[in-house]
Amino acid sequence: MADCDLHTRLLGGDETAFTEAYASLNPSMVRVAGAIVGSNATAEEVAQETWLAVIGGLTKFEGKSSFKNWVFAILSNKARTRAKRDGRNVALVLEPDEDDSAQNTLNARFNADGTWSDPPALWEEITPERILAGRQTWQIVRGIIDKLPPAQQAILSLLEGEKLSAGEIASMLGLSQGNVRVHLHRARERIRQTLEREIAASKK
Amino acid sequence: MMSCREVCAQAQDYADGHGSNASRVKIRLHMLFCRNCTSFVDQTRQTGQLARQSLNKNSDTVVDPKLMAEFKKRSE
Repeated sequence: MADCDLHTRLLGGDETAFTEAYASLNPSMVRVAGAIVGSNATAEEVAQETWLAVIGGLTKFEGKSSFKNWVFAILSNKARTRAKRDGRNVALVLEPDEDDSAQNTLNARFNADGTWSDPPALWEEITPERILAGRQTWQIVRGIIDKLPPAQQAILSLLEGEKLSAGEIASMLGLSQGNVRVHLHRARERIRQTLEREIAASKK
Repeated sequence: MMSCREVCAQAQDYADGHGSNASRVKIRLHMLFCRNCTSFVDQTRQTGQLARQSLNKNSDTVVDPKLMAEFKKRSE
């Protein structure tokens, strides 16, 4: 659903549009709030408060940003306020470089001269509906995402799920654009490595 | 010529369409001769697509009745 259409339908009281907006945005909202407040239960509460603010403020939305951006800006403000109230540092907890296990795993697959010692296999086309280990690929990927560090989950959800730009995400989460890309790369590499293992196991 | 390790370090930017023209040409040139890096870049591209598709599969999340009641109240 296009962003402006969604806002128009919500303004008109379209309950189906509200249900669709909730199902589409709420999982990302909980992930983003979780990265700021540090607890899933509090993140759910922050998302709920955000929806109440969105419902109450529908007439105030002026279209200066996209509707989605507006919702996530409200969420990010509420999560920061909540984190401060709970005595938490509102800066996102980022994984230290030395804990980047995916990069370490990848580095170990090269010879000293930079050639592959353990090369990757060619994947046949992997569709979201393909069954691997009894589950559809998209469910496996969703499961991997749910286990990523909170900041990586938030960044991945906003960039891949909500299609916000790295610049928008950086200002929303108080990070540099470079940091956003580093954590996005780490998240994707972890997903790729887990999928690589699942696909190799399914061929045995 | 770039090494396989260097190609892999830039694979995500390449798959996203980022990076300078010069580095993109170098990666393309490397892949002409390297099946392993072609597989890696392809895996990277497919991973991005799968993450996108997976995050865009709407969950079966049900709207909290209190929120729906609030939404209906506003519309009255």
